[in-house]
Amino acid sequence: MIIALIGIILGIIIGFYIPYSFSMLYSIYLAVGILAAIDSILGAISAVLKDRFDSIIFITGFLMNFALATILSYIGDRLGLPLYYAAIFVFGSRFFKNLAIIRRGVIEKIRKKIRK
Amino acid sequence: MGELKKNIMYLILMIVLGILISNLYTILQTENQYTALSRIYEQRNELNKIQEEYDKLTSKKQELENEIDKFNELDEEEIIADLNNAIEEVRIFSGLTDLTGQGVIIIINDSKVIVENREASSLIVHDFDIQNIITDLRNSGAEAISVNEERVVAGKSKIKCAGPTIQINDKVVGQPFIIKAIGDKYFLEAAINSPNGYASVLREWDIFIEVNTSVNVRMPKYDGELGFNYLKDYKEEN
Repeated sequence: MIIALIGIILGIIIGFYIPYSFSMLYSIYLAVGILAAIDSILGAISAVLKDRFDSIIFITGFLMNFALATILSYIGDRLGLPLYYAAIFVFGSRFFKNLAIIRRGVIEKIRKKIRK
Repeated sequence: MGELKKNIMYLILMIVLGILISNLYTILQTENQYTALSRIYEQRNELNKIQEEYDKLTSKKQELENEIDKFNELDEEEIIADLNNAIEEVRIFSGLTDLTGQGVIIIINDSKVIVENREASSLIVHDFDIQNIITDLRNSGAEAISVNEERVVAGKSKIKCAGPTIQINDKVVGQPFIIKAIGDKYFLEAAINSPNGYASVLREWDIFIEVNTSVNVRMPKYDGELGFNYLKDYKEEN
């Protein structure tokens, strides 16, 4: 958890200092890809709370979701069909589901601590 | 996989994600806006078109400036020569010179088919038939037109009905009507043979029409009356 937080903050700082940035053309793909990555991180956190975390599944899911979402939105753009909506719906709904699981898990933990 | 390796892996992944997030942030900070690829192509085409127009106008401006420079540099004799050229151009434009060039020769003849219960007037070629054919030719880029060696000029030619004959420029001509036109010969031929042309209407009435292309059509000059009775220069009037 702490490593991940440090990594993201480090990455953001590095990213602001890198002069190169993606073209405006690809911003939507980037956004969808980031959404997929955040989704898999939330999924990982909820899995940790359920004690079902598997590092291989997390890493492959992270990369696959990112690539798939990006490719899907690119193909959709080529076809003139906003396919990235599919990615947004799926990841958006999973986002809320995972958040709910995390919230419950955290509240359970806090309650256990209070009882002790 | 060791614990350290895993942690390094996570760190790298998160750093990459952070870089992407900050990258997206910087992209969205600019005043640009997301647009679909197809829209971008459209706009690019539009831009190209406008650019082309701009280039054309610029070159035209350059041309006119060159002309002004030429006028400034000219001496009197050259000005006279230039004006003579201009007069010659106007004479050609108004049909006062004999011309030659590639074009078509169209032969139109009265219907030879006798059909019962059909009016006799539908069998003969009328003045408006000739007028419509001439309009078709003009629309297809004919630069000069004559009917039976009578030049048809803009604004001055008359085409009138005169019984079974037609009066053109105050001269009576009879059939066969031979219309000559100078212009792109294939264009003009297509204008007459096209299914939407007026000639196709005439063919439905069994009127004989034949189009021949020619590389060398001779066009007589307009020799009707010249001059005006009512026209006055607007500037002089004031």
